[in-house]
Amino acid sequence: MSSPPPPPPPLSVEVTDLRKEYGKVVAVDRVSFQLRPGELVGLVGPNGAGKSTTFKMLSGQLLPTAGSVRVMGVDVARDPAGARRHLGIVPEHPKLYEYLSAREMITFAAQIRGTDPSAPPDPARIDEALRIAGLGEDADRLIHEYSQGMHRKTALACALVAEPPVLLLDEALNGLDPPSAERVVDALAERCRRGATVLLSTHVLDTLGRVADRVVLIQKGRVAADLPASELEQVRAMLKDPP
Amino acid sequence: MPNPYAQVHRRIRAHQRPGPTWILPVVAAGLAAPLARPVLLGFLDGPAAPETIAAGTDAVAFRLGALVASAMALHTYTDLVRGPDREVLDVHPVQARPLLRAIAARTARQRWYLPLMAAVLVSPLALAGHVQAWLGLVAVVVGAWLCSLGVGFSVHLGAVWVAFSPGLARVLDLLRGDNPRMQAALIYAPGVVLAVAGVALGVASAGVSAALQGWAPGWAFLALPPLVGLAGALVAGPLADGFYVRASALLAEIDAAWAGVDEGEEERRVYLEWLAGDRPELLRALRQGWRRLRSWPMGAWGLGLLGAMAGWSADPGAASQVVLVAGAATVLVAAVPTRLAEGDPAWLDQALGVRAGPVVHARAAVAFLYAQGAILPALLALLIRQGGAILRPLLLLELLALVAAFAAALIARRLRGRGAWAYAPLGVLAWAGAAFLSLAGAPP
Repeated sequence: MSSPPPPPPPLSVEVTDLRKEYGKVVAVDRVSFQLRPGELVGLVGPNGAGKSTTFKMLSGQLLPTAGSVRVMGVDVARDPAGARRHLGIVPEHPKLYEYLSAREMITFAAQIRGTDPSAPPDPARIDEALRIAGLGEDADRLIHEYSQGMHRKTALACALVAEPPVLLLDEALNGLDPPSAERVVDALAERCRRGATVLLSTHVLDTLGRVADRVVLIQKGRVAADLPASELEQVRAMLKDPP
Repeated sequence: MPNPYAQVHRRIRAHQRPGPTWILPVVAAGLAAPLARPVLLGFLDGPAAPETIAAGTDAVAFRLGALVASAMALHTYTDLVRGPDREVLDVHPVQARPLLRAIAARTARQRWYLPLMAAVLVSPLALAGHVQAWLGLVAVVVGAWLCSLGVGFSVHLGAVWVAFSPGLARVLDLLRGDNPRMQAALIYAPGVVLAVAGVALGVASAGVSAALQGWAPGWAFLALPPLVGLAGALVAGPLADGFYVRASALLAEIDAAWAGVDEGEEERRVYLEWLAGDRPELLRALRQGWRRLRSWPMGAWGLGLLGAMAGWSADPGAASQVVLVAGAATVLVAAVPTRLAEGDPAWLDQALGVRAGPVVHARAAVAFLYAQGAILPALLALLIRQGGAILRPLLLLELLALVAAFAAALIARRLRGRGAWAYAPLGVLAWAGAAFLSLAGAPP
């Protein structure tokens, strides 16, 4: 007698019929998708399609008009603080304490994510996050002296440093120099191999072709396609010729 | 146990090296003290009976305490709800209670000089020999500061709870006017802080008054405002656990609702653009001023209406009242150049090759124009009721507007957004000077 098939792994992120209205404008309309542990999923779409609005609802920064988001089983709208404990987030326009150095900012991020916020975090972790982001030489300069790309690198390092189970990265590779982008993508893939879930919004489809498991295409606020990364050419064609 | 948020605030301060920002306001209060004496401490010129001193101290303690409580109600809102921490921490898990403690400590550290300013401003009371009355007055103001610090954080967090509460949606709809429903709770929160602090400091100042007249237990009433503040601080912790993080989504909803309204109004807006002619710096200042800072002129015009109410009187002292109220509005709105400078980044000016001189003139012109909305209605009311008596207040107020607007614009050129700190004491001084000149020329 054969044993029953193993149950599917629990969902890391469950987005159900998500909708966001701004007055008469519907920015996001009945968006649904699911992310499982170990998956790296690309969220793509033209500018203004609703990707950032979706990200903000996923992270609890915006309330959905209808629908729900659950992160590791936590309803984000009801308990955004609880959901954020499972999330590492890089928003489209990251905000940082401008009068800290990157090392101080990342140390702080690691500290408040730790089980004991009063305990200093492991310096090796901070160095590793700085290395991935490519900030090594500039780690002790104040952030207000940084370029936009370096701001983003610091935000990425803050999201990565505590190894949260779910990473939401909105246009997180924009403005990064190619070697840094490469390093970050490799690090994300490595995190996924260790069971983390990554949702990465980007306009660079080739990057997704290399590391993503799936690609969710959003057009005019709706999910137009949810395909395996092997069918990236179809997504590319849909982006070129929207229905 | 070290508080990571407080540690970060300390590090930021160490890197910023902001310097003693309290010195200028306190020195300005010292310089303004003799000028403000006839306005605030006119009772010293009457008979020195204990009842007169007690009643005068009571009135001034209550008013200065209310002023400090109002300032703290707004500061606690700005620091907790719209403060710099929120946009950074929005993507991180937050332990709300230690964060609240760190924010409260920073607010207290940055605003501790407010009671000191009040103490210096009323120092002529002590110099006139009424040291006990002065100490009582200062104790009331310090109590108001402590009260509004503690109550401020709890009320603003409570407002977030109210905004999310489905059971209170109808109440908010009744109150909100044209504002988004969720904003209604936040709009009225500073008023609630002031009301709570007002009751407590009313009791405290009455206690001081009674004590000055010989009823010693009256001093015990001074404990009420700090105790109310302590109670507020104790409530704030649990409220922060539930509502600090949720406030972000609330603010996003409010901002999005206003962005929608702004787009709808775009075609109907009046920017006084026709005044700009071929001066692009003035056009930019007019547009930025109205689109980004219109709450400043609108607030000042609201104060100007109060000035008009004061001017609508046959009382010979009405002209001085107009200068006091419309002058305050003028000094307030003349700060607009410093706010404009905050929104015009230096790198952009450099990249565009913007010349500093025309920018100073443009910002000063915008502030001067906005001030007219506060000055002219008050003078019109005075003109209707008193005819020719408006020449002196007209000259004083226009001179005040001109001086304050240009001072703010020149300061903003050097210090940009930080210029507000330098402008504030100068503005208070200019206002006190105008009030003094107005009272000096008033009929007995």
